[in-house]
Amino acid sequence: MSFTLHVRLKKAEGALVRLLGQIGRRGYDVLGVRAELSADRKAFDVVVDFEPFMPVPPAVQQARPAEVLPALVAKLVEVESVELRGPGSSATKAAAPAPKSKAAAGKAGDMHFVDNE
Amino acid sequence: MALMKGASFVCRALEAEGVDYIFGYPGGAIMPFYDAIVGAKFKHILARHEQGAAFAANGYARASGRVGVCVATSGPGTTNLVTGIADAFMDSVPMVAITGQVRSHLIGTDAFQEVDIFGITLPIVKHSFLVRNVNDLPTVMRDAFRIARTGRPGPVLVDIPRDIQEAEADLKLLPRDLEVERPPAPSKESVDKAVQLLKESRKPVVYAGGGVGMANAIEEFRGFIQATQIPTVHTLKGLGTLPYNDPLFLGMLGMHGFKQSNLAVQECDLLICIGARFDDRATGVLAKFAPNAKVIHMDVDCSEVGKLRKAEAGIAGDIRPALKAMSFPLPQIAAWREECLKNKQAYAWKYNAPGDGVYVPAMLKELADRADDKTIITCDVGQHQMWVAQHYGFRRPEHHLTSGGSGAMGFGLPAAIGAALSRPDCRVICVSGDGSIMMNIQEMATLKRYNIPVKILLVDNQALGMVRQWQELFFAKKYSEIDLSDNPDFVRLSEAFGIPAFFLRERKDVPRAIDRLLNERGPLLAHVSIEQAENVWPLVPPAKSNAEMVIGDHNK
Repeated sequence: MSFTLHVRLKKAEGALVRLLGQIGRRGYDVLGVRAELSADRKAFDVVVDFEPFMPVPPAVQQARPAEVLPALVAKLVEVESVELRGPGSSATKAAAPAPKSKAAAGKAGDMHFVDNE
Repeated sequence: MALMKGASFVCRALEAEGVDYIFGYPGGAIMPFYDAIVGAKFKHILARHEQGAAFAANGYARASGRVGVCVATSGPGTTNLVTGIADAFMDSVPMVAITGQVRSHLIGTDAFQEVDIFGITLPIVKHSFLVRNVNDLPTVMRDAFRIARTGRPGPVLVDIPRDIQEAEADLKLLPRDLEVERPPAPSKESVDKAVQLLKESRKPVVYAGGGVGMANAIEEFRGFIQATQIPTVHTLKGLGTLPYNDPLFLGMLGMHGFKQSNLAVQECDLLICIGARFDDRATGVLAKFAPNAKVIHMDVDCSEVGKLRKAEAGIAGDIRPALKAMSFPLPQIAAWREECLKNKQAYAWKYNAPGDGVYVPAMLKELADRADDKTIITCDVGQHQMWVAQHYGFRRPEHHLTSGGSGAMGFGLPAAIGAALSRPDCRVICVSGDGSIMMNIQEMATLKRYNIPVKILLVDNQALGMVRQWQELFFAKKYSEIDLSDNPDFVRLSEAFGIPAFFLRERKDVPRAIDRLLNERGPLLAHVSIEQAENVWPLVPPAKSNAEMVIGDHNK
């Protein structure tokens, strides 16, 4: 099941690589990337299609929930906003407001994620 | 307009941040910086390997809570920092690594000592900068320190090409924005939900991690435990959050946790995870961890909440006001608390190993009992690390410096150097193993050069003990590449570095050895020979739940 992440990213050294690295390293397979430089050349609008890695048996771990990813991406210093859009209603619901504003990364407060067990 | 070289500005920025020590090693691409630090207000400690410098900065930060700073030249100088940076990332240690880079026009040409350290470290830093313009330095230096220490701390890399260090510009220090550095308050809804869960619970357990100390929330945490009287288990990095002699302290949980801790977690109906992250060493098989529990998860890093385990109440941000709001009596948990405390008594370690040889758990317990409140222990990685966690009683988390997330052998000695410099009011003891000590043995020269009063308690079983233990238990005793019987004579080696040392093998000599460790001035090494067959117990075997731990021989 694939999802789409919409990210507003400050244009800075290595920002795009850092974003894609964070997604891949945390257990998600990048399926497609589109990036467009803003008119003032200060930010990228990035759209990333991805799906959670599906572990191959006999691996014991479960696929990571997509709903966890926005908060992990929002930690990156260059990320100005992030939004998850998914194919099913549950994923769309969980695309909770990503914690943003660098000063207040963590304002998500109470969050309810899908059970990964 | 007063022009200043980039390298000089970096020095002024470090001074403005209140840095008193930096740890590094010079080389070609960082030479302008080394030229500029002559006469600086901070002192440079010359490590004998860049990894030693990174771990020393790491230990400095862990012991003091201030940002540690390490410096290296380009190429191999920077790659030698990598393990120390990764360690800081895994354990959320505030650190700034300043690296020299080849001149800007040479970047990307495979120039001499050119390495893309910015790219290499991307996955192991909280953030990083490659400075392309000397005029960016004021913002970069201010942001590097802010990012390193704010929220969930971590390492920040500042890679500065040599020509940027040499360039002159009108550079002015930027003021700190304290408002930006304050963690956000948690939402009222999340705290209300946590309060409701506490009121409904009959069998709660607190699972405390290193994040409590990092959030400067020790006082609020202890007030919460005092008010609620909830039994408490700790991660490796959370040890000391509640003093070891508090009745509600059950000990460490997880792979080498105590039975009373793991049983409490397995049987609880509410798990209050504070500043911890459901690490696999703590949880065992995640799906079988605390199987009947609802979860309150509190962390300054909102991305940790719900990352691995669903939380019925997720409290992200400043945990201190939330802990205060959750501090009220829970009379309904009295029977559960008694059950946990009975288990604690029933499974208390007996320290009754047979024989005359040194029994490390007993030695560490005696050391803890006799050391004062201002003693910092650094560890390396392996069996001795787990014995320290289990048997040395900690009173504060910043008194236990251990490579928890990355598990980096070679951490202990340089981390002790950094700790001793950042906390001159404390005694610092490095507990190491014969495998680990050799990974950064060159830092004995640093100890000697600066006469840093670190005591080294070297536990030597002439093997890579933890690997040997696993080969014994899980690989049919097929021992592969764990033999270290050709170790050097550590007493003579220490003396060659100019550091006094002594040897002991027998249990009866332990009290006198501890006397020397606690009372002698200056650096000192105690070389303790132990039996190779001694293993770390309890142990949760791989792919088992924490309820399926093996207790071992001495404590049945």
